[in-house]
Amino acid sequence: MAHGGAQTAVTAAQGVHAGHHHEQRSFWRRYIFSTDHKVIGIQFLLTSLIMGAVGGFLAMLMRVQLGWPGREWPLLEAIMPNAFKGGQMNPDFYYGAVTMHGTIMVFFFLTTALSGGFANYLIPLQIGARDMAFPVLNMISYWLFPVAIVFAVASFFVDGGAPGTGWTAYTPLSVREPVGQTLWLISVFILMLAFLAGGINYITTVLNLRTKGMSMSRLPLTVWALFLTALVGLFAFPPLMAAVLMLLFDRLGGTSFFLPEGGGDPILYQHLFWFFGHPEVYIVILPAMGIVSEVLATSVRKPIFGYRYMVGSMIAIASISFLVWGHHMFPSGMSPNLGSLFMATTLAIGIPSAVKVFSWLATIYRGKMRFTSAALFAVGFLSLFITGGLTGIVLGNPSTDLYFHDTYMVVGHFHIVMGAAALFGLFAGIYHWFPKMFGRMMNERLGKWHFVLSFLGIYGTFFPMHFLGTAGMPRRIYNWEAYAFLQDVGILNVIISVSAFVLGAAQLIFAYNFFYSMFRGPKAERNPWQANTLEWWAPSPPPHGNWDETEPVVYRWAYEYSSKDAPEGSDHVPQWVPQPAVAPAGSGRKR
Amino acid sequence: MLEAQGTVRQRAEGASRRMGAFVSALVGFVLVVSVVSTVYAAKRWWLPPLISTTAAPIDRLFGMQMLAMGVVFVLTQGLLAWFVWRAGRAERAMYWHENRRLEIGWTVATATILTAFILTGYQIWLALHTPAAAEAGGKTAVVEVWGRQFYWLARYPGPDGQFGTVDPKYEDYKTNPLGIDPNDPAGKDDIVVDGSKGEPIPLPAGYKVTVRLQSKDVIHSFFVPHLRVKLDAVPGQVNELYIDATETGKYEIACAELCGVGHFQMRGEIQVMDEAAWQDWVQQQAQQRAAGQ
Repeated sequence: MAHGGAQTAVTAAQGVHAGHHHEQRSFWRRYIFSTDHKVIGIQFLLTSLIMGAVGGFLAMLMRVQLGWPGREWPLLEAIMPNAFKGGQMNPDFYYGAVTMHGTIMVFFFLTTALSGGFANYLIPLQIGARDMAFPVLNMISYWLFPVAIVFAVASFFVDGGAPGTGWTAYTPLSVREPVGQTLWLISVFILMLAFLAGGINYITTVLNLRTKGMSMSRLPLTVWALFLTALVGLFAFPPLMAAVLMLLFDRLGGTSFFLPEGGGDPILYQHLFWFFGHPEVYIVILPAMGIVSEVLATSVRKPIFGYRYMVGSMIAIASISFLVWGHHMFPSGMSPNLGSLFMATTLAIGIPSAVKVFSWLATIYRGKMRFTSAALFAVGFLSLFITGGLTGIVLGNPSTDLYFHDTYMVVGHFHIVMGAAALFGLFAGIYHWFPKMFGRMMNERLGKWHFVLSFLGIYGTFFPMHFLGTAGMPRRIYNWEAYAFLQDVGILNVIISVSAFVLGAAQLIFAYNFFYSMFRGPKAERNPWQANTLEWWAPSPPPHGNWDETEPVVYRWAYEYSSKDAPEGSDHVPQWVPQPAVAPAGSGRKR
Repeated sequence: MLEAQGTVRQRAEGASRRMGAFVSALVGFVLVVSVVSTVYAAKRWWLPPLISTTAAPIDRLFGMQMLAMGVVFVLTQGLLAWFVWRAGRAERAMYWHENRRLEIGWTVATATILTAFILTGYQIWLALHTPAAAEAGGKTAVVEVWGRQFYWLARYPGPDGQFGTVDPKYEDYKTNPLGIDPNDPAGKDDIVVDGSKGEPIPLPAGYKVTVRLQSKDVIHSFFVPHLRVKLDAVPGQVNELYIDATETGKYEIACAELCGVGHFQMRGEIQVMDEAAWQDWVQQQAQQRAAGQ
């Protein structure tokens, strides 16, 4: 191995380096109120995974209701007597679950796991820094997260229960909701503060703390993705915070920002919400794109195809994402001219997305694949991103959107393209970086089972939703049986529910694998996947401060796989390996 | 020793081939099931029968979109399955990461397809928003539709063609659900249809009907699947929608915007009548009004 022997093994406890003397840190300072970006990243990841389980459980309950509306479930009544009063799920609880499932999955799971977990863990390691630019701010960013969770979850237990207004909390309905909505608003506001604190950190760190040789054009695509995500967040979160504050004032302060009877405008809220809301889906998917680029290149032992186009398309996506929010509001009564404009921008964002898809396909083309669990999830991501992205053609066009808006076509579309795809990207990342995070390997056999069941489960759950959409079934319907035109969708809903349960059960395999491997998995080497990025130069897990006495120096881009420059017995040249004094004749293009 | 290494490598190669074939088959399976199920769904769960001529281009556009999506879906998922299969069998990876022609090629191809959709979509979108009055000679009618938790109300201007002013202070759930001002002469002959009593909203077939959507409380969305129309009823604003129903009969209205815990029950109906039945109904309502005064 290229780096073999050059370093001595350094365990976490011995993380001593210039300027840092932390041997005496107590358990609390090391694992709980830590300023170490790796600990904070793992805290974000673990908390998010727990929240993901909660959000997933709520989805299972909703599928119980939708698969068999009107059926009584005495067992569930025994467990949750209030939600299942009389054996049937009550609609109040259903709509609370709708709201909290969406809120948890978008904010408390995907955003926090990817932008909180992976951004924290990977950015300093992959750019060769010892920590984030503002470690204390970073710690505060994490600790705001559980506070936000407490407010969100508390809404289940107050009078009136969790708000039944959906994760979008449209006004004026959300002004009239019981007190649960107030808790929800406070929770979202606190979480936005956490995201902003994190985002400022990521941006500053990437701009200022890159090690010697790590030019922007040599950044791994994960870092590019996480950096752009933070930028998008910096512009997208404040409008939502404004909307949340104004809504809080309307609820508690007697103002009428969104109330027509007081001269306000309910549509204003939608503009503010979706000005944040659409970039938010890219906040979720961009990090997954970065992770998948990294995992794919490593797995197929090939350089990522079209690095510059990959970066360029991510910049294009990040920019255009601010110009498409109106497609969420096509039926709100906006001017048709505005509708045309939003159609053009919405379909235009398909171009950089397609460039990415083709570049990933070209990356796999004539590669030599190592079928790790991470690689499988990356392939799954690609399949899902294509499937989910395509229906955007229908929904981005206001004429066809008139029919499909707020039907299950939309539910299928966004669950596949930003929910499932981001989830698969997240899993690819966890399987790939687990050895680095915990110094142990996950079980590959269980990982493959997890992949196969999740892949089939996710398609079985979300693909038939397109047919519910063509049949015209509106979303957020507690019981579809009331409608004559929906009499034939029963079998589809049963298929969806059963697939969702398979999908849910498959995650138990993951949970077992994750927690078992954390303590009992075989010890991981420094660089088990023979990858090129800097984190694999550090010990597994890296000590506090990441590097020994010297920080790594970067000599090339991160994708030198199957390169002619690779030394004997290896097929790759990591970023930290010095250039050979004399380049071998006919060597590949350098960066 | 060398022999043993050789077998280990062979075994690894075999495992890699099998995994490649398996993952490729998995993607292929999803591809085939998706296509087959969509073909089946097109017969069973497709758009409900269309009862409007202006909306016909929407169905045609959707057909074109389905075709484009289908081709791209099969192509890309097929390539994915094929490349993964090959990547399981390959002896070594190729060092290759740049091809200008390819990059420009697929960028331009995607842009061309999407531009075509933008242009067609634009024309249809504009046509859908051409107000009924703009077309000379056609028969027209106006109806106000109001959303309220959790039913639909409708109002017709009556013989005078004028809507009376509405004020919430006159609202009475039984006698005056919309709150029509009793002192406004224009409102005297207004016809009100109350969805909470199960009354369907009558619409004349062959007319260009302007629907003026409003809401009494929160945002609702007026969705008639058979007409391919959906528009929000927003409190404090009037949204206009143009309908030209061609087939008589009863069709359902679904509320398509979460409007509270009874959202799923906010079902209404329109009753499309031929011209004679429509005239009769208007007349009959006017007489009832006159008798009631």
